[in-house]
Amino acid sequence: MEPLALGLSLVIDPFNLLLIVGGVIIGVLVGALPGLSSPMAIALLIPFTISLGPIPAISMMAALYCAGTFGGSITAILINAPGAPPAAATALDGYPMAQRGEAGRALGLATFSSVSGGIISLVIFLVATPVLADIALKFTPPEYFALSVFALSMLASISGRSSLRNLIAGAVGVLISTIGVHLVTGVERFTFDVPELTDGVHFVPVLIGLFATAELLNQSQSLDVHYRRIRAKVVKLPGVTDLKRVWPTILRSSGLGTFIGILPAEGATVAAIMGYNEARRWSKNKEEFGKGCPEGIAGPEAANNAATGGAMVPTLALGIPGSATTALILAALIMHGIRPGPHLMQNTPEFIYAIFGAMVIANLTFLVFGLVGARFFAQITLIPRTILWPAVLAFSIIGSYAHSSSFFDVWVMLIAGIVGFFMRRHGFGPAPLIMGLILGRIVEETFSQSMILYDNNFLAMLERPIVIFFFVLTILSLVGPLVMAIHEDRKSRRLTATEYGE
Amino acid sequence: MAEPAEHEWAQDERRQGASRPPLVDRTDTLLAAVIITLCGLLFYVTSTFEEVSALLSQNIRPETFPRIVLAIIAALALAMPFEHKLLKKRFNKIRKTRGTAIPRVTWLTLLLLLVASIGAPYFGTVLTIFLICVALPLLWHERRIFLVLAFATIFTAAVTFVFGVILKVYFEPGLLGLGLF
Repeated sequence: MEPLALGLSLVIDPFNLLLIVGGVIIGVLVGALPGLSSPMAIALLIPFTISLGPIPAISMMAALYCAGTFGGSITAILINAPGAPPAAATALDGYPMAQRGEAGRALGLATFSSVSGGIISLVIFLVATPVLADIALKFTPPEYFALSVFALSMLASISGRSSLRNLIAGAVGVLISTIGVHLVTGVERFTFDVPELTDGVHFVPVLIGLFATAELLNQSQSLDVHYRRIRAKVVKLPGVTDLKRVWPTILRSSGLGTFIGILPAEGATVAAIMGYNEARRWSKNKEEFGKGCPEGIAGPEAANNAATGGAMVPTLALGIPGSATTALILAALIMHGIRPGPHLMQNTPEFIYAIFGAMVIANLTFLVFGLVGARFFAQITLIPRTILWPAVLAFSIIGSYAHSSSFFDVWVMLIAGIVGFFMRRHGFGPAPLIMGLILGRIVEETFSQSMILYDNNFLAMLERPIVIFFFVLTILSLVGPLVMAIHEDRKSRRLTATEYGE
Repeated sequence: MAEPAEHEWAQDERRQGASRPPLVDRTDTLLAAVIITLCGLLFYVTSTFEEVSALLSQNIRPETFPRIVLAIIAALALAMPFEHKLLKKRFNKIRKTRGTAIPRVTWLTLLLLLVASIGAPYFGTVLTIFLICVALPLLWHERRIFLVLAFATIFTAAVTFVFGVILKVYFEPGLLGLGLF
């Protein structure tokens, strides 16, 4: 109990609390604005946190992560444009409810479900992190290698338009991570005589380029899009009738969301979609879905926020990111000189408990902001894009530059942004590339260590049961989407055949 | 009788067209070719890595891992041209996104990004931020000049204060000599 008390005492420092509240405000704003996202905000926030200690810096990012996931629901409900991808499912029932003149009820349901999902997942985080770290302490390099390969293979099933493209993007990220000096031999790789590449490509400019600059170019394509906003007079907590109706959905979605969050690479978007589907599947009022059903709001909102707590478990206990946003938090941890993994739990458990405390405070803070300030946060959609996005661009340039006061990083950001923009046009997402970039170093390091341990005999690794277990999971996660696609294809063929009377 | 027969034939063609799209997607084939060519080039680059003794490298050669990754990327890219056969619904979204022409304003934004990034060392950090805050809104058809100038001035001052004064980031003085330290 002592580390828990110490961790919580570290986080309730007034300066930390201020940063957490700041993180929540930025998170809700960013989440609410269509186009801006939590990963982008964290990428832009990293340079600001350079001078902070690791606990305040990560607390602020964790708060932003939780609040950003919730913030998306505000615009999903009021303007039918999810501010963030995890809120897309919320719009399906949130907007119709708002159209009926019950915007306050919809926002209240979303806020309550989000906070409940977040808190439930944090309780699981508190219990699961030490257990998982304890198991991981027994891992040797082959187990870690197999685990990180499994995490990469999960890119096949994260949300996106194509599993194949996710995998290619992930592998490209791994390849980028090999730029620079090889740790075992000291040989320079892919540096092309550019001195700045000797240390490898810095994370921050790549993150900013892929998430912010690419999105800026994307936004420039839709300058004529205007949103119609529904006004919410008062946001109210769900009443007894609503609570009775949605609590099983909240509990179910929270468990599901936490589990999906814990799975490497799977994030809040997948959790929200599954939360919505499960809410519909278990509901007695299926016909109400899509027309403003309370469960249709509670399901995805509880699940997507539960995924935030879940995703922190593998990030902190194993050093394997649970989602794209936690991949950025992982990069920030490394920048602050902290190596996440089982030893973090063993040596400085108070750090993990401080993050837990920060996330609990963040959830409670956005409960207040959600109830009191949702309608004010919705006003930010009135900020003209012609002012908002130049500010994002300026932050992108200064953020990339500030990292090492080098314009080379600005050029890296620019290249990443242009590549990211064209990647998106062809169905490649930025999140898998980031996951690959972050995991690449772990994969290569553990691969090299395993090869040294087993005298270059790859098959000898398969004598270890945990390695086999992770490799089997890898095969399943690679084959799963393929089988699903074949199944979908057959189903659509059958439908086409029926349509033509065959 | 000829007309209904033709109609049936057209229906049949439509049905076959709906269930049998071409084997490969042309854009994806081109994309895969580009990716595989790049992989080939980078594979060649790995052969130019410095040689190290087996003792120093402990049998882990610096080119081994990148080569494995390149081979994986190339193998995955080989499947790309056929992917549209399996992902019909989702592939339509990809087709729609990339089928839309990139508007002129996006190309101009890209050009502005290039000019700002390449010119930043010469303009200096503060002036670059100010110019972006003025140029991008105007490029995106914002015609409220006073709003743009007010935003650019306040935003540049705020960013300079936060990064330059609080976070002590070194600002390149550039043309106007607007350095802070």
